Amino acid sequence: MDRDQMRILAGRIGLSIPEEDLEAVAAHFSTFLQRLAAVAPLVEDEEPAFFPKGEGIPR
Amino acid sequence: MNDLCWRSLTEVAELIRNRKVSPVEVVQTALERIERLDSRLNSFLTVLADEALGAARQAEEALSKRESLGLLHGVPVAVKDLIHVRGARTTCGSKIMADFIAQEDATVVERLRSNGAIILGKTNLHEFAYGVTNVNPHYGPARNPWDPDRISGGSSGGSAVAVAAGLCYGALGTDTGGSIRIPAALCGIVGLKPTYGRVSRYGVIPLAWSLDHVGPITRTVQDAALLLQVLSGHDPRDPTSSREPVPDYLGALDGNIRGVRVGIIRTMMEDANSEVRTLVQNAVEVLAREGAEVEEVEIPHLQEMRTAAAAIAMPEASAYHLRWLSQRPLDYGEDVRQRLFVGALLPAHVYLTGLRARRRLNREFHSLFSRVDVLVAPTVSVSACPIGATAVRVGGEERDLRTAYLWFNQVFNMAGLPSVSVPCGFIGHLPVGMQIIGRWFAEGEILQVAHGYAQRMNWTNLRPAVS
Repeated sequence: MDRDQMRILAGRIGLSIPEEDLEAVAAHFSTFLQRLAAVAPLVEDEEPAFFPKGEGIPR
Repeated sequence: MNDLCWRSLTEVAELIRNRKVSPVEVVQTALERIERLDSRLNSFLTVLADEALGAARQAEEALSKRESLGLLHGVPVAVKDLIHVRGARTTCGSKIMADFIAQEDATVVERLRSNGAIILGKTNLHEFAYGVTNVNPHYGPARNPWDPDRISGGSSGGSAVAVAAGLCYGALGTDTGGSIRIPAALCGIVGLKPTYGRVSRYGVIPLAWSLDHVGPITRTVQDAALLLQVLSGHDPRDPTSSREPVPDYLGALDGNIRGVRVGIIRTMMEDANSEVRTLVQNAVEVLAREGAEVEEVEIPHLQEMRTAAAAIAMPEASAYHLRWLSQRPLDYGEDVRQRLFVGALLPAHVYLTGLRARRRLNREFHSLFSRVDVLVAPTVSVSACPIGATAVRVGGEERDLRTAYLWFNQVFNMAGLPSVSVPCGFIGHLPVGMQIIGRWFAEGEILQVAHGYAQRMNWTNLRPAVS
């Protein structure tokens, strides 16, 4: 995602990213989504656990 | 009393209880040390000197009538400045909340006070607890007492510095991805992140609701057990607070670790720099000599689980900050602001992927804890870096600071497991820590292993350069 796309995306939810942040935010955003692609196949059969407590915690 | 400031919290509580020292003397000693040393360390954002002295006089009066105010009668402690103390500022280390005055105590502060503790002040932190260095653009960095040109670690850096430098006997921190354990490790003291739900979060400004934990930072494992005893228990004002019974943490602490099954997390050992790895290996050998049964274990898909932890943390943090991010973006420091923007823009499926991974991770840990009783890993991959550094070398590889310090911590927040960091030695003049992780609500077990190790090594008897 480039700087302009980032600016448009932010504008849609009422945010205005300062000019000096655009590059860093765009780079972090893109890198993170790339990393997340490796997580998705691991959780295909899972339901979300909204909190650590009470879900999967043995008593 | 010459070494009063270096007595442990447990010892000073006993000295006060037995009327060997007065609460007023204890509080005055702490205030004098803050006055003398904290201009160099910058650990406190607010010192509640008058209130603390007033409370000390009341504690003394109660003693004179042979009344006990509780386990912490007359003991001065500090509180991270995102935890509400009635009538005091809660700045969160930010410009945005610089003038916010809390109208009530957080539950943890209520519990401290109802057990006789005296709140000495509010400690420095990474802005809104969203970072690991405690280099704060609004209030200046908390400085490591072992080398004031280096970071304290964060985000509960001020609390760790104050305890390590003998400015107070214990402090509260919060931990969303390592923020109690990291500064405890880098400052050479003990930091305990309890099980999620064990300690109330009511009255604590959130970073990420489903990852935030409140816990003690102390100089000894016994002190951590004592504070945990006071802090633990159900709180109807925190919807995630647990009703699990609170055991006698302190009474059960004898350091006997014979037969305890210890799993060393292989990948985390390999990911630490060689000096840290050697120190943790040495510590594990001590555990083995004391009768622990040691084996290597692995957390499957660890790298992906770290990403998943961030997929939960970033949107939760940004959701809390969205209004300010929209109205006052330039009032945040650059690093926090940029992270908040990224979290705000991530699509919903990212967050849900993180939550789905949490269920899988919980199952992996459940399986691991059928084989071992506790897990052991380094707390940090390197010792404290110079203030202003943006990257560190781990092995031959350059890593950004967040990765280097968060690396071994986030997954335990994601699963809500208890973890305690204890000092395990020094690299040059700088301390590092080892963390011991347990089953859900098994704080007693991890404290037992930590105590078994710590009482044989006595790393916390060493004094930092600025003290």
